[in-house]
Amino acid sequence: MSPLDKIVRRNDAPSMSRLPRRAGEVIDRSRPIAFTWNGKPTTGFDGDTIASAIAASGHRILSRSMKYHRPRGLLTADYWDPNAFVQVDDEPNVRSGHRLLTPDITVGPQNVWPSLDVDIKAANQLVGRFLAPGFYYKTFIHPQRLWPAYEKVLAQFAPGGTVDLETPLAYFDKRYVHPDVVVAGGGPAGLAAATAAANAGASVLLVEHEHHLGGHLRYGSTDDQALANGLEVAARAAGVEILVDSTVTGRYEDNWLGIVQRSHPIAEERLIKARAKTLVVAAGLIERPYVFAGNDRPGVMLSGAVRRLVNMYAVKPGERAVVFTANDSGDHAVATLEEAGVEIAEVVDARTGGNIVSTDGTQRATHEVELGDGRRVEADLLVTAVGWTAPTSLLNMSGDHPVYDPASARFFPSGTPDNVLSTGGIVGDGTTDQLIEHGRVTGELAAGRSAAVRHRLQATTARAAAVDGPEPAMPADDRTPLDRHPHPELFRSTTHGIVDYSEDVGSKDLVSAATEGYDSVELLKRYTTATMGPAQGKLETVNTVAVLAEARGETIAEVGTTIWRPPYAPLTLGALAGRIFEPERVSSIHSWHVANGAKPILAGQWIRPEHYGDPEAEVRNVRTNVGLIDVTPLGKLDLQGADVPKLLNLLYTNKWSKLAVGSVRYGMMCAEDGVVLDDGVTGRLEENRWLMTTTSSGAGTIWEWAENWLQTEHPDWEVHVTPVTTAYTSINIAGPNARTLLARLTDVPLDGDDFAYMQVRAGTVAAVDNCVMWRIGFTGELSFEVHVPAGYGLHVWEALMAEGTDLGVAPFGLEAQRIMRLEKGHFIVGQDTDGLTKAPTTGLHALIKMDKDDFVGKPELRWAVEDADANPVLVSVQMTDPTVVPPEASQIVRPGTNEILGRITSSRYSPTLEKSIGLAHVPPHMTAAGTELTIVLTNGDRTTARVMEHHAHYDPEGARLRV
Amino acid sequence: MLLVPCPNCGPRNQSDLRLLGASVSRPDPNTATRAEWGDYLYLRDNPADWITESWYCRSGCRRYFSLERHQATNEFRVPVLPGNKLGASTYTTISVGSSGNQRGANDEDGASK
Repeated sequence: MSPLDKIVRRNDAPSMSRLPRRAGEVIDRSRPIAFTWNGKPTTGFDGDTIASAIAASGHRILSRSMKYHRPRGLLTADYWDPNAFVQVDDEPNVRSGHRLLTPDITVGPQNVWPSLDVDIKAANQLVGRFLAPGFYYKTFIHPQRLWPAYEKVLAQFAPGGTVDLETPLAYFDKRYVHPDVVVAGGGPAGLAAATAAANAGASVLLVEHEHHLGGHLRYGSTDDQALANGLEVAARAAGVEILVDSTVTGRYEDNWLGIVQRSHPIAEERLIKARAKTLVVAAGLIERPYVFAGNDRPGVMLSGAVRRLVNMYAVKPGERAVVFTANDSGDHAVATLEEAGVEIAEVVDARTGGNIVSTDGTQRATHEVELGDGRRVEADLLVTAVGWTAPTSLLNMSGDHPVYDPASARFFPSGTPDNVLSTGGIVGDGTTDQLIEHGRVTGELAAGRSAAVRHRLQATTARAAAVDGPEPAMPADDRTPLDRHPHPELFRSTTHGIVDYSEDVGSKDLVSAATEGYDSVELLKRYTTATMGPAQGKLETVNTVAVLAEARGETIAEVGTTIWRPPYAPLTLGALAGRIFEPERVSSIHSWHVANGAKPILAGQWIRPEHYGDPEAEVRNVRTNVGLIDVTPLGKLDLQGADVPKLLNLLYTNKWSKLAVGSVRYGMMCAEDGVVLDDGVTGRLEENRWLMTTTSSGAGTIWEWAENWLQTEHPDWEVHVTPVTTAYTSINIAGPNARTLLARLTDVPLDGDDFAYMQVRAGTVAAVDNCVMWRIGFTGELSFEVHVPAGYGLHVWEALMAEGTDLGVAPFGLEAQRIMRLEKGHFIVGQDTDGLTKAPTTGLHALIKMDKDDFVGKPELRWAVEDADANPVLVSVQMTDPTVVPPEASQIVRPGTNEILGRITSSRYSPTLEKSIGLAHVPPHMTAAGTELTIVLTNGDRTTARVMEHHAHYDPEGARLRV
Repeated sequence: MLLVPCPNCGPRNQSDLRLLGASVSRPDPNTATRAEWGDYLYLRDNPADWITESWYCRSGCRRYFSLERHQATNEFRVPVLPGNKLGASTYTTISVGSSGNQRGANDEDGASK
């Protein structure tokens, strides 16, 4: 009976199994872990990857391929395995060759429907000609009206796992580090480099992609594993910070590195942003698959995969093997398989001209391998060792253009900047000792260069402590390069097979795409999606280039390669987002608002009361009695110095030199292009002390704006600007009873003659000293705005509430204030103006003083006045139907057409007037009072409005303000 | 992310600062023509060469200053503080090694000032 008969008979019967204890195994057999695979209870050990546990339990098929839904088994048995994507609980697309087994998880295959064993969509294989490259572009373009139907069908075929929308947010984090040296890769060379750099005095961060240090030593012989352990001990003893299961995902300007840490004990993933003085790339080599017919049949594996499975996880990968080898790794695989009790049916040596042509068997298992000499050998396992891909991503991102060397059949770096060094397999070949020695010298060089850079950085920090001694010389690179060993060029056999396993792209597809004209490597990649799947070219780039080179009859060097871009390995959006650091700002009265039923609204970063239940009632109370509003977010700048009037004259469009002490004035600011930037009230508290207020959203901007003009254009002016927005709690007391109420709490005379409209006073309120009061009125009522030292804000607010009970005092929120300002026709910068609104549009021509020597935006405003016909005008409008309030941004159109003439910028129902009122941008010829406007509502209906004579709908003379 | 040499704070992440663009001088607002003012507002040269640009150290010293940067290599040099009292620095600005393309690195003007 043939050794494979039992496999043939039982098709996918368990053909892998757990071996007796291996010396270097990373599993802990004393700690079994139960989990569910494909609906069945299964057991692995602590230290297993999900894939090794599934394999050890006898299953060969992990998932189906993305496009053709072909059953697939392990290929590389590590992070890059394109055939091992599984669903783990609610998490799709988990790399089971890398993810460690944890208790009680439910693991399922992907791209299967209805099941792993029977898959209807595997019929894709039969209609494979429809799924050729460009299939989607060619097939689903016409007719366009059918696209919704196409989309529904295609969505069913979308690859990958299932996203659970109910999954709670996980915790992610970020970290910032500034090490001297970052070493990417913890193999023998990387470990030696990290240790040497640390011993030379550098702070070192070593980042290893896998769970274990040691690189290829970890799945090598017992001696190799002992050596890896020794290197790890030395690195830890030298003080190297070691991150395993972490990846340097990108290298950016000035050695800014992204590192994703998947092994953080609390955070799901942590993104580390590192500024390294020197980066050492020791990424090693990634084994390349071979292209031939049947190369994606379960049972075909790379030499690294079988060595990992046997030596790390004690999994027997098959019963009877053919090994196709071109290098040491293949030779080691033969020895490893023999140790594991796998019968070696044939060793085919590429170095002496051997080749393999195809595999045969079922879709689910390999039964036979056809060799180059025509023989067919019975086997359930075919191991290939045909060469290496140098993962040069980080070097490419450093400006390197790796060059292909046909003698060694791989790419080598050609040159990086001084602060990026590389070592190990990525730069050459050698014995382990030679790799370690090269790593050691590289580490010392990295430390030396880092010391020079560190000295320079410190010396260029003006306020840093004095730096000792002269700058150390930047050490030259006098390392002895590693050799390059000869290696046969092996990419594709005489048959066609899969090139990109994760995208289901075959060499035939690449050749036909090249024939269609997609024969530049970048075009080919985008057209066929080869190298664009989850493996991101790590396995398939060189084969893609080789197949294209063959199709074009050129060399690999002539064809060139695709560009490796960040990230080196994927990271989650959660890691990129990190923790949410967006601050929320509240005033000192916030607790009172919460306790009194305020409905919060987020305004910028501020949480403010929108209303306390009934905004229209709040309006009526202010108009009748007295109301309090917390206006703390109002931007406030303390301006001191003899030249403050010069600054104000420059920033505002109006004049400030003659403003008397004790007075306030309204002003509007424009940018140099004449567009309205901000507005507010500024008061003169003392001869050389002023308080400027800005809009709430402009608080930060205007501070930096003022500083910009002072520092760059007028450094000779004596002005000191201090932001005091949060140093004061600001309370506006508005309504006919405002004076009576405030008088009960302050000695400052408040009568009209003593404290007139648009004046400012400083004094004591509710026993709090150093309050600033000004008499202004955004709401249109008699009002006093009190700026209280922030620590006493709540006290003053509560005192006002307590003292005003008999006066009908009540709080009002942002909404009531917005209604009242609209009743008064006051515009809000950013609401009633936009990024094109120049100052004359607001109608406040009286505030634009062209006779000033200079102010920001002056020439633009001059031209804007000259070009008045070209600019819209802000007008007040009243809707014909008082019950219709058009949404803000409703279009104003020419009657009977859809020609847009303007828009409603603000609109509200006015409880005071019992009318629907608004502000609008209209063309200059439509500003006359009484002009009828046609407004399109959201539902398409049209309504009409009338342009008003004054901006203010209510009390246009301002009599109520001046009582 | 560039490492930008703030004259006061030393090399800081680009995200700690705000780039205001190439430094330009402001025309006389009383005599400037529309074309001159338009140039000042909108038009900048974009040479593969050294340019002087303005930065604001928003997370550090909050100073506005100018730096020279080589647009092809992203090297920085010689901050010129616009008239402030912190003084024109006497140090050479450098980057940690910058990108692979070191064109301009040996430019004589790139040496210390």
